[in-house]
Amino acid sequence: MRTRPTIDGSANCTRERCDAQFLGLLAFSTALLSVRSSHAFEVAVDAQSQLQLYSVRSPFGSPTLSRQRLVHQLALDAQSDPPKLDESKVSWAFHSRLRLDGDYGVSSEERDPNNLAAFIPGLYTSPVDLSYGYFSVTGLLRDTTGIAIGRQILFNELGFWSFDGAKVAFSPAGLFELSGFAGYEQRGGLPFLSTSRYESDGVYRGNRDGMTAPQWPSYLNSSKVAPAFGASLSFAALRGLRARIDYRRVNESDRVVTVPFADATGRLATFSGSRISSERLGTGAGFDIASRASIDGAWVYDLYRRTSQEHRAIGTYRLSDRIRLNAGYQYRLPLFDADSIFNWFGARGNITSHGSVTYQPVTAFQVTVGGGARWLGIGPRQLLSEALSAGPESGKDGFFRIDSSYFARDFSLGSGTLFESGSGGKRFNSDLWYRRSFLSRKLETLTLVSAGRWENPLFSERAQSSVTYVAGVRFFPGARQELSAEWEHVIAEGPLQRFRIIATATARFP
Amino acid sequence: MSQIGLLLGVLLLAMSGSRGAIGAPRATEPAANAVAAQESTAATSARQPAANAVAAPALTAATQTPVLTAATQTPALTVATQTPALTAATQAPPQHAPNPVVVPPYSATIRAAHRVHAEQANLLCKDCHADVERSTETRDWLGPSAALCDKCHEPKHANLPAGSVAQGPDCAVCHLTDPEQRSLHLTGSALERHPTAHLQFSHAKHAKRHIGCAQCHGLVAKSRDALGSERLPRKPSCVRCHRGEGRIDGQAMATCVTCHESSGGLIRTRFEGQVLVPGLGMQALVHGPDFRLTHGTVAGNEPRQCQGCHTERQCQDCHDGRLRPRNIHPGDWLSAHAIASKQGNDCSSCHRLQSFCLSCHERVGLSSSGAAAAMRQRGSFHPSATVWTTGPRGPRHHAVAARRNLSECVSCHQERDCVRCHATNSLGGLGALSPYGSGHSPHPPSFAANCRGYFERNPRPCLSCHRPEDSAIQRCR
Repeated sequence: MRTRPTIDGSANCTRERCDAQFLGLLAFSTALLSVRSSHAFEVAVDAQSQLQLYSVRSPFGSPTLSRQRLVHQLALDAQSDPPKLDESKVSWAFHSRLRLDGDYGVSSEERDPNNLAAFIPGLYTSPVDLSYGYFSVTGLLRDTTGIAIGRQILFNELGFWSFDGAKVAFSPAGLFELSGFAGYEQRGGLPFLSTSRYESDGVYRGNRDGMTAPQWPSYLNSSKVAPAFGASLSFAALRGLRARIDYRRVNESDRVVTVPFADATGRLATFSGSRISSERLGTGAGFDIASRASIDGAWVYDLYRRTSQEHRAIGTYRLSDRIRLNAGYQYRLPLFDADSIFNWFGARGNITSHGSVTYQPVTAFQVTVGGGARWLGIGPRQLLSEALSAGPESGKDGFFRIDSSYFARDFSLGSGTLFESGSGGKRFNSDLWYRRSFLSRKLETLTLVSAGRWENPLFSERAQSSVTYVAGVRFFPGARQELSAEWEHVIAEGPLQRFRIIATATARFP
Repeated sequence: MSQIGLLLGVLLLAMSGSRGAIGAPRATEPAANAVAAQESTAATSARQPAANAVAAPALTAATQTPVLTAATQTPALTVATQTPALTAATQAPPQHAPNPVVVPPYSATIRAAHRVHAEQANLLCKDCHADVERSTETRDWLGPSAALCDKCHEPKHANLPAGSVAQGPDCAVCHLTDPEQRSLHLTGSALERHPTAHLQFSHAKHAKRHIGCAQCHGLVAKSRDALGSERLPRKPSCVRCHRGEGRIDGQAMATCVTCHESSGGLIRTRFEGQVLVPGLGMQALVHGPDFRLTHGTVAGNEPRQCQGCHTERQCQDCHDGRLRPRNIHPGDWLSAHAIASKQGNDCSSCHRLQSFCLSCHERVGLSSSGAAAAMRQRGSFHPSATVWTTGPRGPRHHAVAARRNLSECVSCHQERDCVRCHATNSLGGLGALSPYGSGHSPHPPSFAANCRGYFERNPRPCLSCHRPEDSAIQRCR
């Protein structure tokens, strides 16, 4: 059995081991389903298979990649029956989702670390990852405390993130919730069926087990666990007001190459020891105004880089039952793993402001017209001075969009058009789609026509127009089963033709 | 199905005069269902899910019978319209009625005085609503059958002669009048006025957990009339247990789809001609076209609001998805995505640049790392070196592009592509020997003032470009 080097979708396991783990969860699901009748809990299994066949051609003409992707997902949820009124409020739940994302178009040369002319670090034919899998107990300590253990996903002011560990939440009388967690950041290349999706960009990490030094590129550092901890405090005591503070710190513990050039002895310098990977503090608040409007804002500060990483605000106002106004603002500075030099390249952030009006003359029809501007390479302090006349190193873009939809009993129709132009290039796209249902909604068809054009500001000769059409069908054999198929054909200047086939089967039990 | 059975049972009893009052409706149920099913294929109700719609054609037929026409002329009508119960039923729904999109309004058509039945006849709820404890869906008809009423009330429905006209004060004891047609609701009108709520609700599940009727229906046993939609339990009584605070805190499952109809795990918001929108005080949650830009702020401020309808799975389908969502990436996205990235769209909110983006770029020759480097002789994806790297810093210089949008660089380049030039000379870079001018130092202006703290917390990036003995490092130690 040979272990493959992995970075993305990184299951650090052999194919046999991955298959065994996948089958193990399947058996566990079946076992839980079979005992469900004799215990006071509910079990649900959700299985989905997606097949995607398409090709990707290099802008240089070759190579053309054949993507033959088969994604299997298996979700298992179990939970105790809700407690009766006169019982203890303690209840438990288990939630998991296992995913296999195979691309059987990957060539063996691309996966062979001995073939340095073709080897792509991190490429793996069929990685398996446990998207999440945690066990939670709630209602502890007089219904004030809950705990969750396992691989969990957190969504808060600091973004979408996952870790392996434990979380404890304390919420007395629903006035506020104080929670804390500790564990390890989910990183690729670790033996926990993990992906690299949640780790910061910067240093190129992965699993190099089974490879000799000449086989692994100097930029492929070997992954180790990254301890993480954090806390959150959220307030929900007042109706219409929401506020929270989130803190998270992730440490590095691996040995990392510092200089990518070998010294006179042919060795690469490395650095090890516990050090920071990221440390951020985020806070946000929102409130509703007279049931007609709401305002939300947030601010994220990077404690390592000592700068604001992000601040944003959105507002919505229901002018009448038919008209709604929206506006928003966001400043975002790209930040990276603290191990990385990218943090120190003096990059500036970008600012996006947008607004829109939605008009809904009847409940079945609505149209939204909106637009905005984006400033690239600018800080909030420079916005006022450089917004109107872009500085020599900043850029500006403007965008406009119009969306509409109409929903009838047996069909729906919609369109979406976007035009964006500025220093980042020009981009236009317009989609028109039509869905129709038949046989008492057991069958649904999709027709989509799309036209687009883009222009590259760095190369005036590089521009492309394309037309795409999609034909699809969905069939619902039962309330919990779904089969679908889509055919997509892109006709672009070049000339270029691209085809894509998607087939999906979904089943939920019970 | 029992709903259909009741409808046709009442209809047939009223018209046929068959004997055996108690057993009659049940005996006719299968046949009645079959008839209704056949009739329903031609006309599916616009307001009802398929299962409910089967009643509609039969009702249409029923209302066209002479029975009702005749009934409108009876003196009983006058009596009925003056009853307090009727007044209550025909009043506009009070302000606090359930959301009409979720629970289509209907009025009571039977004068089932709950207080009389409970206090004077000492009946229990289940004496009349016998099927409640077995009901698993909102479309189930839970009212009493005519045969059940016949146990106590006269005249017996089963004794009515075939084709007879239902009229007289005896009928009006139970049956209310239709405020529009001013006719007695005698044949199936109860069902016609009783559309199904767009909810998933199992009386059986609640009964199994010993949740009493009054806990949701309040003081219904004290009411003097039957219940219209305006008297049904409302959301606050649901969320007393279904607290909507996410799994880690909830007492009973509290996702939106626990109660609301769903499709594919998402709450169903569109019902023929009507749209369910977030209620007052939830304006930020409206999922309009702009929501793709704003939902991060909403979810960040109060993730539990999202958890009411969505599980982490739905978040992950986009934020770590394996299938391109068409409503996010339109048309020929594979061709257009590079420009979208240049325009500052935040790819990293859903994709990790150094795995998702880079591995594909390496494979098609769009990276200077790995095997793709061998393809570089085919041409560059950047302007010529005299413009992009070695020339004076202009609008098309790589330093300007990096300052504007470094994420775009990282989707193709590794650190060593930068270090090759930006590292100090002693480490193999160009450093101070750079022939391209003094602007090669990438550090931001405030760097020197804070470098000590940076070095203490993580020296690795410093050591990528500087030797430990460099004076720059010494200053920061």
